[in-house]
This record gives sequence, structure tokens and C-alpha cells, in this order.
Amino acid sequence: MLEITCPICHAKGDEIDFTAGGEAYIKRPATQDPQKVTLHAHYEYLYIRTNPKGPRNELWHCTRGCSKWFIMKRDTMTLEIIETKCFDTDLASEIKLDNKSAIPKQHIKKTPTPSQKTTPSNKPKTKPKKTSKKN
Amino acid sequence: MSKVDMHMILKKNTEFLPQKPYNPLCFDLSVRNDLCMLDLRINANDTLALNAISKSLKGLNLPLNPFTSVQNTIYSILWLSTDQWLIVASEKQSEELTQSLNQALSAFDYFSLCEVSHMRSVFRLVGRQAENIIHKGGSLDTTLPYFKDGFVKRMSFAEIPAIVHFLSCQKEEQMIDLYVFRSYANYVFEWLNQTGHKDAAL
Amino acid sequence: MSAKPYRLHSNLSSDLCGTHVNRNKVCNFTFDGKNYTGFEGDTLASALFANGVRVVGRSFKYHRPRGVLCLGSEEPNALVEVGEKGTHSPNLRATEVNLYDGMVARSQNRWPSVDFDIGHVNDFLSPLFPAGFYYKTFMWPASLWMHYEHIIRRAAGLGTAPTTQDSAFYEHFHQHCDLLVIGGGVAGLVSAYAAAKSGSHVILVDEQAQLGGCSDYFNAQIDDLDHNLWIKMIISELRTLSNCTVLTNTTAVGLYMHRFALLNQIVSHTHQAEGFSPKARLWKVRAKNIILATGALERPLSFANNDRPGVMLSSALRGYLRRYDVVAGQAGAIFTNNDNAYETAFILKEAGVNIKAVIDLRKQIPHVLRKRAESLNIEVFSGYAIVDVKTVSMGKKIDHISIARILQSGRISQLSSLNVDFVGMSGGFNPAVHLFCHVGGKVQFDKKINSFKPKNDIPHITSVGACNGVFSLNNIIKEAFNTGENVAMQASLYKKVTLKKPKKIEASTNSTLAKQWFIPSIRKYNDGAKHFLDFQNDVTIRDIELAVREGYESVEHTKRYTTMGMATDQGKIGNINALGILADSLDIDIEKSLTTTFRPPFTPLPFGTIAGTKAKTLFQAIRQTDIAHWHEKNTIDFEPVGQWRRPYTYRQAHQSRFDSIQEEVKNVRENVGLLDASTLGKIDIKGPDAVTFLNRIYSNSFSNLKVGRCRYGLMLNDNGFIIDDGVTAKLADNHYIVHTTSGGADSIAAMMEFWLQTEWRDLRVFITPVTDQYAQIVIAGPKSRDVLNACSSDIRFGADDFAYMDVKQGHLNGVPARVYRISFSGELSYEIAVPAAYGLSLWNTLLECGRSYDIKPYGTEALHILRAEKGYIVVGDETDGTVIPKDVGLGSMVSKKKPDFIGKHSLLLMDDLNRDNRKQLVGLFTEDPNEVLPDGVHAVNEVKKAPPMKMIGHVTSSYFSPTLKRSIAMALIENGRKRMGERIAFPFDDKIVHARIVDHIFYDKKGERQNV
Repeated sequence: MLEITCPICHAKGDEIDFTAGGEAYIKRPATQDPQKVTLHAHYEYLYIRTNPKGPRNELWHCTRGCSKWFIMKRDTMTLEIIETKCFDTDLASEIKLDNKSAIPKQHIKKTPTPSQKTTPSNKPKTKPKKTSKKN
Repeated sequence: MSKVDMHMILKKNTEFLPQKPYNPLCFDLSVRNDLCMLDLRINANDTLALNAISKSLKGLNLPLNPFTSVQNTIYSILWLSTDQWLIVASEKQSEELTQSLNQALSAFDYFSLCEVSHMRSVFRLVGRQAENIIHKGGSLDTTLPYFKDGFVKRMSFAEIPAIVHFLSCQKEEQMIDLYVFRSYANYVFEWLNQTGHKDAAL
Repeated sequence: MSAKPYRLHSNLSSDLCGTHVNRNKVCNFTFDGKNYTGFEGDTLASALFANGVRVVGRSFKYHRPRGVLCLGSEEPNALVEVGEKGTHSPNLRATEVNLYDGMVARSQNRWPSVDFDIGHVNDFLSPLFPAGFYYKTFMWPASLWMHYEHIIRRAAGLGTAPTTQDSAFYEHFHQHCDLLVIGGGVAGLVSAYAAAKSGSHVILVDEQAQLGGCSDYFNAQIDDLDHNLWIKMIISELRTLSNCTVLTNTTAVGLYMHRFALLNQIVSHTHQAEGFSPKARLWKVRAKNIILATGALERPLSFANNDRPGVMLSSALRGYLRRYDVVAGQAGAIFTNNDNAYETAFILKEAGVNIKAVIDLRKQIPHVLRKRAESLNIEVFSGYAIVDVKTVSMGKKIDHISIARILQSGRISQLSSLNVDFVGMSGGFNPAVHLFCHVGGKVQFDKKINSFKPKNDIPHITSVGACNGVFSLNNIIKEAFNTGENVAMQASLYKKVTLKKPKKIEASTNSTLAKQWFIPSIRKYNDGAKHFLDFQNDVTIRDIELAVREGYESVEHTKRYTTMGMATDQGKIGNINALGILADSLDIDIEKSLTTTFRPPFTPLPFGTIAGTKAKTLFQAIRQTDIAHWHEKNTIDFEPVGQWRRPYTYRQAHQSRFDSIQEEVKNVRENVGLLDASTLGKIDIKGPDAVTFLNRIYSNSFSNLKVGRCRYGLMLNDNGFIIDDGVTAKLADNHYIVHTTSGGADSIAAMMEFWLQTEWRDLRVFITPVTDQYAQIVIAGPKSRDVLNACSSDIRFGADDFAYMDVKQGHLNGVPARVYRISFSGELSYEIAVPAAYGLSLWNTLLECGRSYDIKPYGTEALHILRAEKGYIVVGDETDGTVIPKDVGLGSMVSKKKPDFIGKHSLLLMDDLNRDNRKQLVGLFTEDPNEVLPDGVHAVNEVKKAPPMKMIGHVTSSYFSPTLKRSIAMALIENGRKRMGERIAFPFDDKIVHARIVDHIFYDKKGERQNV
């Protein structure tokens, strides 16, 4: 049974504490541009996987930790876990296992001005797709 | 219609779950059924919102470090994820707590506050063997450096999803709250009675 | 106390003998129905020896009488059943069964008795049972297989399975530690001691009842004292350390990836565990480091009839004497190719056992050994071998052995005989590399020990001592200290301490051993000169040679062809010898040959241990709604829905199931019914992008849903197939509650999180599964409004105030409630959600308020009939993972406007989903209105006398409808909608049922009843 450490919450546990989600970096054409989905691209997205003998990027879910999905590079031959990373690199640097620190982080961090934070347009860094907002 | 007939007021089901173990156990088992629980989800980077929450919780800050919890005399807050917390208080606090939190969050649009008091049953395990019972239920690494008083983690316990909260993890006086979904409560109770039997102590 | 013929008197032997037995405590036991006595501390094997019982089983194939060969878990012959027949545990090794008072044990694989066994005839018929016998039988006429299968099954085999439920409890226990040390011999003890003293959290396990490994049957001196005293000091110190867990009677049965180990701890002393105390505990240990100190297993020598009762491993003879004060016979000889076996001769002789001779394959023997043998009056035959073992009474007792000089040519000369009744044999020692190989460790051949040792190529797993091919006590102790300390240095709690290391170690050393795999004999194989390699599977040298002749040259092929190294043995006894013989037959160097794969478990693991707590009442996690106790009092009929148990129909034992169901349906149509729908999945969805999210998750649109309204949604996967459905209610702006099917609640919530976290990370939505928070009750039927009006509520239930597909929040009988006016029955219907603990009270109140309206609860079967009459689909009945919305008549629920939703592009682009002749949902009326088609039967194009017939579809749901007073069914039929009115045939169970295709909505096609 694999021993996995979540890159987000650093939960370390047995494989059963995690859920495998198949190969990572599979692009969903419809997310990129729903108007330009070709049969070929859609078919590849649904059915074609690299299935390598060796390192492979996989999606894993930290089911018994922070409930977040992350990416794990794992050797399918030796079962060695080569690296794990978050979708959102910001998130990883945000959370550190620092139980000694008595001061909660929100007090250490600079507080942004209220106008910045409360406007509804203040979205996470990823740009929302134009099309996705219409439906 | 408007007049409420007193005998028709709905009552809580007190017989759903036995209150006392039926076997002699190797630890003290009790059921905590007078709790108010709120599931809070909010972006931890939203400092303004976190401050507002803190204010409404009488200065208690949401714990941001994984697997930690904070508490004062009224509330305890359990870290569940990078954007999820379980706020636990006594049932009496329910209305006031919900109101003040809702009020604090009314200025924000991206959050979720769900009343989940009935969603989970909470078992309290006390005694030297308490941690061993958890180990019988599933894999939980208690040798990690972040295993300290207040440690909270989801785990697969007796094959079902659960949350364990170590109020005290000192060898001699272990105190653990075990949160399981209400529909599993009778199964877990049966499980604790069998596996926690004093004859089965390690 | 009667003296036992084979138990030495304690005053005759030294203090070192009989260390394990307590002579003051007698244990009575029976073996094969006969009464015997032994002592506390005995194993079943040693107690049988003491009573002179030599034959303890029959061999697998030839049914030859067999005795105990070994001292420990590697025992291949002495497989026994313990416990009363029916509740017994089979296939236990007598060498591992600790004796207790009242034990009932039996031998296995014999009929009618172990003394007289009919199968023994197989031994004389052995030409009929060559290697590959099983493969060859498959080539006999297949029609005969039925006849000979049961004969073979009976003739060859191990124990029988118990027939009754195991009343004992078992449990699992999960642990993490810095270091797991497997093996409690000198190497393991010292490693554990060094690491634990330095602060590491250590778990030390050993399969035996006592620690120390084989040290008690070796002679050595540490710091001028008997080495056992030093070892005892280490053990007692280890036991005082709180950071060291010592587990005895615990076998490491398997080693897995990333340093994960399974340990089987035998907790109960007796076969039937007491009360709730577990019989066995399965430890699942994740260690940061693992030290393997599993020792070595002695190799037999492959001489003729080396399997006779009384022929044992040399070290085992020594062990039985030292531990239990028992010997295998009156007079013995030792046959060896190495120095170690001399120690057996000396120790036994010194204890007063008549050891007549040491027969050594080697021509050169160390002078010290020869001299010491002389002084003890033991004759040494060097360059000699045992060439045959002669037995009396059908092979059950050794009469004498034939010995002869081995010539260079492989021929023999100077044949003579020796009157002995037991033989100790030693062919050297094999490192126990099994666990190391479980995790994919590689082994290498070591010429010095003529065996394989680990390559130590796996990070954080280190082999120490004999299992690493290190046999001198001095080196073992040195290596163990180093390894233990090194491992401890990696641990977080390392502290440097001074360890009590021995200064002076004196132990016997080993000179070169003779490398000879095959020992010649004076007779031919079929004349009764079988050379056994694998005792448990009855594999002989000839079998290996036959396999090679027939082309099975690869070691893995040989293994399968001959069955060597299979079953519980897993290559413990015969593998290396067999590899040697194989290499000889192929004329290759054994170094180039590979070993077979050793697989877990190291020793057999009982099913109870594997199941753990998942047995009896805890077999499965059961989910209950708050109304469950009421259900249990009011019906005997439940059906599993995922982990839930839902009432199938409310009936008492005297009622018929059919009548009860029909009554329930009728009552909903005519009066009012009550259903516990708390099991429905409920997911709270909140956030500024909630509607965008719903639009992408569901195939239909939620853009124009208003606050306070509900909408039925259809959920597809990205392949375009239906995976879930349910009603979504809009509670407030940006706040929805989604209902899923009872079985799909968890997976749908998980799937939603998946899409939010991986694909649509820009959407600002939080989803919270809240299924267990609410008890949800459906009240359905024309009188349901009247019942609700009789309750006290601030919600108005009238048609004008509360329209179909409305959701209202308020209070019901003093408790916050959410009421949905939705219908799955086609009747006027409300669903009421209250916090779970109020569920039972609400249920009782509704029953009370509804009494004058003839309210009755209904179960899941009535629910299904009600919806089937209305033509509503159930995901999992009408769909099977290959059904798209159009197939079930829900094509209109696929939005054409939305640019993207899960499944959209498959529906648009995939040819197969757009073909004309897809199976479509239709209704069926059987010609005989009383004939109810079974679920799942197939329709055919044309009925023929025998299959194959082209199938055109299948029944998805089928019921007797009390409303229509006839049978109704739904089916997925090719081109079904174009076949309205056609007559199709369903051949099954030797009959043919004809049905007419009709519309799948059978009742109230316009939906007027729910809209009143």
C-alpha cells in the first residue's frame, strides 16, 4: 500500500486515505472553447491515455485530509512517488505546517483595503473564460 | 392554524442512539448530543471576512494550520480543510451563533454557512485505551510532529468517513471526540461496544 | 505422572534443556481421538513426540506417512486441525500450535485414519501421478472430468474447511513506528535494542512464543558467560522501554510497498477465544524503517526416502531437546554436509541420547569436530552418505539406514547398514528472504553458504544476521548494533547513548560445506527410492528432471508444472534444493538460475483475521434514518439501497408481500401515503457562480429558475450517459439545494468537487453535502393537503399559495421545516425536510394527523410501482451507464442553448449516440394481463428453437399495477418508439411471453393529478 503525502495539507497517510483520479493534465476541449470542440479532440480527451511504463502524472484526492485534488508523479513500475504538487501553487506556499506560531496568519498578513476585497469582481487569479459566464 | 397545539410540537428523538454502552468497555464512552454545529466554508485568503468571523466569535480566530483546532469557553473551531471549518458550540448557543455569523458574513458573497447540528453524532472516548480504539478503526499516524492536543483529522474509521478530534492526547488522560454521520451512529455504537470491550483491550 | 518414552528426565539433562516446558502443569489433549498428556509450554508437535506419536499426517499426493520435520513455522508435514469438527481451524502447523489443556487436534489428508490410509496405494501407483499430472488430466476426454474430478479432489489436498460460523472475534490494529524489527532472534533483539535505546519508536515481532530465536539451541559464550544470559539481559531491558512494543506469537505475514507490513498476532491461547477477547489481531504497520532479522531455514538433504517419519532437520532435533526435553527416537544418526550438524550430535549425546554416527558428505572434516566426536564415542563416516532409509510397518517407523561411501564418479561403495530409528539431516542454511522478496527485493547467490541472500537494494529495508547470509555470532551482533544505531539516527527523537556491547564472543565457526544436491541411492525411483525436495507438495527430484525433459526449463515453469514451492510451503523447505537439481539437469550454474517468486502470506492467514471486525453484526456499515426503529417495529421486509436498509413494504409475517404492496399503492392513489425519503442525497450549493455551476453539471438549464421554485435535473457524465437525477430547489439567490439518488449522494458530491477543483477553478461555489442533517418525509395522495392542514404550520398548503414545484421554508409543529411540492408518484404530494432528530416525531405526527384520512406508510416497492405507472425513470433501473436522455424520452432535458455542460459534446459529436436504431424506452402490456415479466429478460426479433436469437432489448422495470389492474413493464427496445403497437416475444425459463409495445406513461398522461 502506497504511502502518500498531500502537498497541500501535508497529511501523510495510506493510499486508502486518498482517492485516485486517473491521469492528470488531460485537457477537456469544451472547457477551452466550447464552440470549437472537434470530434477528434473530444475522443482523445475521453478515451486516450498515455499509460506509460514509468513516471506518470496522476490526479489524487486527499480524501481524509483537506479534500483537495492534487497532482502526483508516480512511477508505474517501481511505484515510487517522484513528486506531488498543487493545482494552485499559491496555495502550497500559503499553508505551512507551523504549529508553533501562536499568531494566526490573518494578523501577520497585510490587510488589503476593503474596497479591493469586497467588490464582486475580485476573483482568483485565473481568468474566467468569457463563454463560461453566459450560460 | 396559527395557534400551536403544545402536544403537537415536534420532539427530538432521544431513542435513536443508546446513551450508555451495553458492554463493559476499556474506556469511557459517552454520546454528546447537545451540540450545535456549523459548517463554514470560506476562502482563507479573504482576510476581511476572516476578521469579521473572528469578531462574531468573540475574538476566536479560525485555525489556519492543518489538523489544528481552537477553542474558548463557548466555541471550538475544527480545521477541516484549507477553506472549511466546523464550528461547535452547545445547543443553547445555536441561535445566537448562527445569527451573529450570518450577520458578520452578510457583506460577503462568497462563503457557505450550513447548519449541520444533526448531521453528525459525536462520541466522546476517554481513557488510556481511547487512542487504541481509534487505531483499531483505521489508519491514523499519531507519531507525526503535528499530533498535539487539539489535533483534528478526517479518517476512515470502521470503514466509514469520520472526524477525530483529540482534545487531549496525553497518554494517561486521552480524550477524543469522534464525529460520524448520524446515519452511521448506531453502527459505530455497536462497533465501539464490540471492539472496545474491556476483554479486547491491548 | 507416567513417564513418557521420549521425554528425557530433567535430572539427566543439563539446565539448558526443557527450558520452554513447565513440568508442574500437565495439559490433557486428544490427537485423532486418543488421549495424551503434555506440559504447559509444549507445542502440539513436541507433546506428540513426548508421547511417541511419530506419524502426524499423510502426504499430499502419495499419502506417505509423515512425521514432524521442523521446529518452527516452516513445517511442511505436520498440518493439523485444532478444535471440534465443524468449528475447527484447519492447516495449522503442529510446530506452531501451543498446547493447552483440553485441546482437540486431528491429523489431515488421511482416510480412514492416519495409521491406515487407503490413499497410500498412490505411493505404489506413483507412475500414474507424475509431475504435470494435473495438466495431463485436462487432456483426457473432457466428458470424463466430472467423474474423476471428485476422486482427485479427495485424494490430494490439505485440510477441510470448518462448516459452522466462527464464534471468535478478530480485529485489525493500525500502527506507525520508526522501526519495525521482524524476528526476535539475536540479530533482531540487538537491532531493536540499539534503536529503542537511542530513542526510536520500535516494534519487535517474533512468530514464536518466546524471544531469542534459535539461540537456545546453540552453544556460545559472550563475555565468558553463556550467551543466553546476555540475550536474556537484552530482552528484559527491551521490555522496560516504553518506546518499544514487543509482540510474540506474531508472524509478519507480508511486506508491501512503502514499508507496510501485515503482522498476524495470535492473542487467544486456546482455539475458542474467550468472550470478546479477539482470537487474533492483524497489525497493519507502516514503519519508517524495517529491519529483517528473519534468520535462516535449514535445508534438507535429498537422499532416498528422506521423508520417512523420524528423518528430521538437524537443528530441529537440537531444538526439541533444548526446549521441550523430547527426542525423536531411541537411537539416531546425523547426516550432514556442514559443521553445524555436529553440534546436534554433541548436544544430544551429552544429554544422554544415543547418537550412533555422523555421516558427512565431505571428505575433509575439521580436526576439532572429529576429535570431539571421538571423545563422545560418536563414529564419523566422512565421504559417506545415507543411500536409503528402510522402514517397517508400512513406512511408519525407521528400521535401519543404509550408508555408503560416495565415489568421485557418483557411484557408491562399501554399503553397510546402521540400526537407528531417527536421522537428523543438514544441507546447510537458507537465509529466509521471503519477506524481502514480497516487496520486490532481489536475491543473489552466495557460494559460501550455497544459497541465495538478499541484495539489500530496497531503501529503508535492511536485512541483518542469518537472513542476510551472516552466520557467525560475532558478526551478527556487530551488524545488528550498527544497523540499529544507523536507523535510530534517522528518527526525529534520536539521542546518543552508550550501548552495552559485548567485548568477547566465542562461538563455533563454520568451514566449507559440501555442494552436492543429489545424493545417490541404491534403488530406482519406482522401487521405492524417492528423493523428496518439497515435502508438502510431494515433489521429488525425478519430477524436476521430468519437467526439464518435457521442456519446462524456466524456474517459474518448473514450479507450476511440478507444484514445488506452492501452497503454504512457499518454497521454505525445498526451493533451493529444487533449484540446485534444476541447474544440474540443465547443466547450468545455479548462480544464473533465478528463484521463484515468494508471495505473501509467509504463513497462512485465517479468513477471520483478514475479515477482522467485518464479521457478524459488523459485517457491513449500515446507515439508518431517524425513523429506522419505527420501521423495524412495523415491517419485516427491508431492501438494501447502498448502505441503507429501506422498508420494502410494511407488512407483518402473516401478510403476503404482494397484497401488502398493492394495498400501499392503492392507498396513495385513493387516500394518502407516507414515505421515509431521508436517504435521498442532499447537497447544499452556494456562491456567486452557483447557477453557472448547475448549468454545467446538469444537462438542462437552471438560468431562469426563480427563488422558491424547484426543477428536476438530469445529470450526465462526459460520455453523455445518464448518471443521476433529482430535484434542485432554489432557496435564495446563489443558494440551491440539490437532491441526488439515495445511492449516488456521496459520489455526486465528490464528482462536483472534482469539477470545481480541477476543471472550473474560477467558479466561486461551495458545495456542502448535508444528507444526514435532514429527515425527509414524502406525503403523497389526494388527501395529503388535508393532512398537512391538520398540522400546525406557518406555511399555507393551499393550491393558490403553494403551487406544484414550489419550495417553502417555515415551521411545522414548532420546528423549522422546508417543504417541497414535488411528486414522484403522480399524485398531489409534498416532501417535508426537518432536522434529522425531529424526523420520528414528524412521522408520528403525520400519522396521527392523517388517521382520519386513512394515511398509511408505503415502502420502496410501492414507490417504484407508483413511479412506473407514471413512466418516471429510476437511474440504475432504466439506465445502465449506456443510456442517453433521448433514449428514455428525456431529450427535451438536453439544453441546446448552453455552450457547455457535462456530456454535451458527446451527445453532439459521437456517432453512436446519434444513430437511429438505439434502444428506446417503451411501455409493455403482456398479452396475459396477469403475467408479470421478470426484470432483465430479453426480447428477441424472432423466436427460434434454440439460441442464438437476435436480441432487441430488455425489460428494465416490471410490476403488477393495482391502478391499471394488470401487469405493466418498461423496456429498452431497439427503435422502440417506432414500434408502438407491435407484438414482441420474451423467451425465458422454457416459455415464451408475448407483449405489446405501448407508451411508457401508463397513468394520468397529462399529469393532472399532481397539479391540483
